[in-house]
Amino acid sequence: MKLLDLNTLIQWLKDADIHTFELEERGLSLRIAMQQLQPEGHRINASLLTTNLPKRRLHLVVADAKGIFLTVHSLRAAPLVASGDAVAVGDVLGLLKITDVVYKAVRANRQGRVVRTLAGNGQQIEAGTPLFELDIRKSSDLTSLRNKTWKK
Amino acid sequence: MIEVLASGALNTVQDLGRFGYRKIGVSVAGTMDKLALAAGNLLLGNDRNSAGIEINIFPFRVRFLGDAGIVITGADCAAELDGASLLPWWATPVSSGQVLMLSAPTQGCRAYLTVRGGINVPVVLNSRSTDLKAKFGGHDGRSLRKGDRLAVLNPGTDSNGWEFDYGVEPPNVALPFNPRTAEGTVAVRVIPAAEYENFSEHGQAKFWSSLWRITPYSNRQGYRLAGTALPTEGQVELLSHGLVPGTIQVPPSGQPIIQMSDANTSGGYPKIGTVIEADMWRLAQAGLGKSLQFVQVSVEDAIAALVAERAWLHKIEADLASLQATSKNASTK
Repeated sequence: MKLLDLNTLIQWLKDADIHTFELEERGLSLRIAMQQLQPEGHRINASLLTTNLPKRRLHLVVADAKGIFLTVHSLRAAPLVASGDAVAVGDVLGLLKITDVVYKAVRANRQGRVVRTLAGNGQQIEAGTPLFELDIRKSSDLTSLRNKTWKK
Repeated sequence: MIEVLASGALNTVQDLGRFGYRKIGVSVAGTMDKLALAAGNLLLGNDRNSAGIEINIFPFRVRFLGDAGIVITGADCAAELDGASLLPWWATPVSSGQVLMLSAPTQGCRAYLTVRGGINVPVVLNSRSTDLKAKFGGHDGRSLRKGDRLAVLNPGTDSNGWEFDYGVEPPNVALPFNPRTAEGTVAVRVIPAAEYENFSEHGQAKFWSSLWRITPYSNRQGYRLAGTALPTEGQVELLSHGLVPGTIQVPPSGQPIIQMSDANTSGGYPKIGTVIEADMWRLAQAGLGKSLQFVQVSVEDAIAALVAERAWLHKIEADLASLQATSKNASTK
């Protein structure tokens, strides 16, 4: 299991309000205990989770023009999006400086959660370059997962 | 139509100014930050002189009573359209009924709302600018108030006519001027004025080396500065003579005054310098309490800076025209 997957997994657990997670798979044993531990009865059976855990569905947002990729607007301090942010269709993820003076927006074309940004701020990119990785699992997947786990 | 839902005093309709009437005592007026208004208009396919709203007091809230296309330029004021965040210096389509909210900026101090077509108020002496001192022009010659309704020329988003969703790189990045000064200080370039030589060498040196704080007694008419007083012995008040926005006068107190957009048309205080036209937008965005540093430049430098500023605006106009043409070709194919 890669470190990135681990981070994503932790994010899922946070989103699904799951406090303890155990997994045994191909000789790998993993136990994640979130802070603010709940009573012992809420401990989750790993076999139940592995069968119900929705697969991550990745979607790439690519540049539709060539230009200089920007993750921050020059008048603002914070990046336009950060990993883990939920985004709706049309939300601005980044900017492309397509001429010496004109900006175009890189917008989400699917609803989801930002997994990571694939290009650096200020990087010159070509049309078609992947810029963002979105996790487009439906949020209902996470909700149903939460309902199942709390039933125990 | 645009309906004002919340506004403070000093938010007014302005274009780039009323030129040619100073000889009869009429101030230039117009936006404090002319680059912001011009760039906003260009993003919408307007003439760069189209009237917009200058917002000096926040929060400012309006409702659109028809479809429109808008841009917010100048200081970033975290604009929200029906609660959704808008990018600064960005052309955005608006639907009838939507509410735009601008909050107090953290950097800079004035924002501009430009609308596709421009604000339609009567043209008085060749301008739609509000002259607050003489109480004419703009919307009834006064600041906007809650309940005011402003008409828009050629309203609507008309997708055949203009494609929205482009932004421009703001001038703080596109036209940087960042000499080494104290943290948080705004540097503006100044050319010595007619009475500069009448100040002692000590006074001249002090003028350039001091930090000058913009006091609360500053407005669209002029900025009153505070710092170590300049020596004014030997200075005589002159017969009144013409003034322009940017003129830096030194009254007997030794604390300089910079004339701004609503500048008096004449005055008699000695003039030590003039802020170059290309830096007036920087000055306009320097709010109360900010410190200024004057940086001496030559007339040639001032002209070069103005040429660069005009080239920037021209590039915006040309690039957008070609992008619009490309998208039109693509959509007719």
